[in-house]
Amino acid sequence: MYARPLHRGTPLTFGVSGMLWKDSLIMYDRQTRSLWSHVTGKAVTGPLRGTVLTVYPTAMQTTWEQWRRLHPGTLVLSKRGRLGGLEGTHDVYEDYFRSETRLGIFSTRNPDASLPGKEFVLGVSAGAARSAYPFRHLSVQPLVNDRVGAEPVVVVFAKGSATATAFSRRLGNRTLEFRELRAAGEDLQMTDAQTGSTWRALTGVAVAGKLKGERLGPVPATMAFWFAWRQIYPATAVWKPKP
Amino acid sequence: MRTAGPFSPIALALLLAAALAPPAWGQFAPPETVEGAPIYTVLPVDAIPAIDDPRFVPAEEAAAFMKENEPVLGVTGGGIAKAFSLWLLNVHEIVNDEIGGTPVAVTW
Repeated sequence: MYARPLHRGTPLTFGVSGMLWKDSLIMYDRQTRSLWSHVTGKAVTGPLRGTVLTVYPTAMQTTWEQWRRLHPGTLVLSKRGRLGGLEGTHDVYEDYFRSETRLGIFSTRNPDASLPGKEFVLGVSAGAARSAYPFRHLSVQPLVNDRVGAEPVVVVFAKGSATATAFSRRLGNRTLEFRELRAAGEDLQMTDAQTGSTWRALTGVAVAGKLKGERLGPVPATMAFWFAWRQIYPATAVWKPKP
Repeated sequence: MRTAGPFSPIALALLLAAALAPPAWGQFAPPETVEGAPIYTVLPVDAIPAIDDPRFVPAEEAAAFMKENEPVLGVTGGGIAKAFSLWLLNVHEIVNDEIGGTPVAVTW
C-alpha cells in the first residue's frame, strides 16, 4: 500500500497493466502510463522510471473479526458492484492458498528451501534492510524484540487470527523493550520493560501506566509467501527464536 | 502482498478474449526483464478493473456481506480505520483511495 504522489498537482491514479514481474502485479499510472512494480513500488519504465513510491505503513493483514475488534468504528469497502450485485463473496484463490506445492502461476522454484515455499512470513522493511518472520517461528514465540537494520522493532503475532504486525520500538529518545504478551479478554496486551505501561499489542497504543495514550510508530510490514519474499529480497534476514 | 495464483475461469475467459482481440495488448513497451527477472504479459490492460471511486459502509452494515474469518487489509490514519476484503481485492487488485486526506493506492 502506497501514498499516491502528485503529478502536476493531481495524485497519480493506478490501473492493472496485465503484466507480471516476479509473480506479482505490475501497475500503470493513468497520467504518464509508466509501469510500476507493486512489490517494490518502483517505476520500471516510462516517464517516471526510477521513481519510488512511499509505502503507507499502517496496513495490516488480518481477519474481519479481528479487525472489527481492534477498530469497532471501521469503515469497510462496499462489495456492491456497478451492476448492483455483490462482488468478492468468496475466495477465488482458495485452492492456490491451500496448495503447499503451487508457487505462482508459472510454477516458480522456491529460491531457498530452508523454509517451505508456501510458508507465510511477515516481511519487515527499514531503510534498505529486510527481515522475514516466519509464522511457524512466531507461533512458538509470538513477541519479538528485534532490529531490522538500525531500526529497533517489535513483532507481534496473534495465533488465533494468524495476524502478524510490527512497530518501531523508538519512542522519543527511548528504545522500549516489550514482554509479557498475554490475552486480556478478546484483546492482546504487552508491557514495556522501561515503564511497566500496558500496550494493546496489535494497535501499538498504550492503554495504562506512565505512557498511557502513547502510540508506537508503524514500520512497513507485509504478509507474504516465503518464496515470493525471498525472490524479491534475496538478502533478507530470517528471524528464528533463540534455542 | 499477493502473488499471482493460477487463473480463475474468468481470467481464462478474458485471456481467450484477449487472444482474439490483440489490439488491447502492447500498449506499453516494457523492458523484457527488470533486474534480471522477466516481465510477462498475461492479460490485457484493465482486464482486472481497479476501483477509482471506492464506496465505504460502516461496520454494522458490512456484517451483512463480510464473513468472520474473511481476510482483510486493514489501514489506519488520520483517526480513520478502513478494511478492504482480500476476496474483493482479488478481483480488483488496486483501489485508488485516500486515508485521512492522504491519497493512497491499496494494492494486492
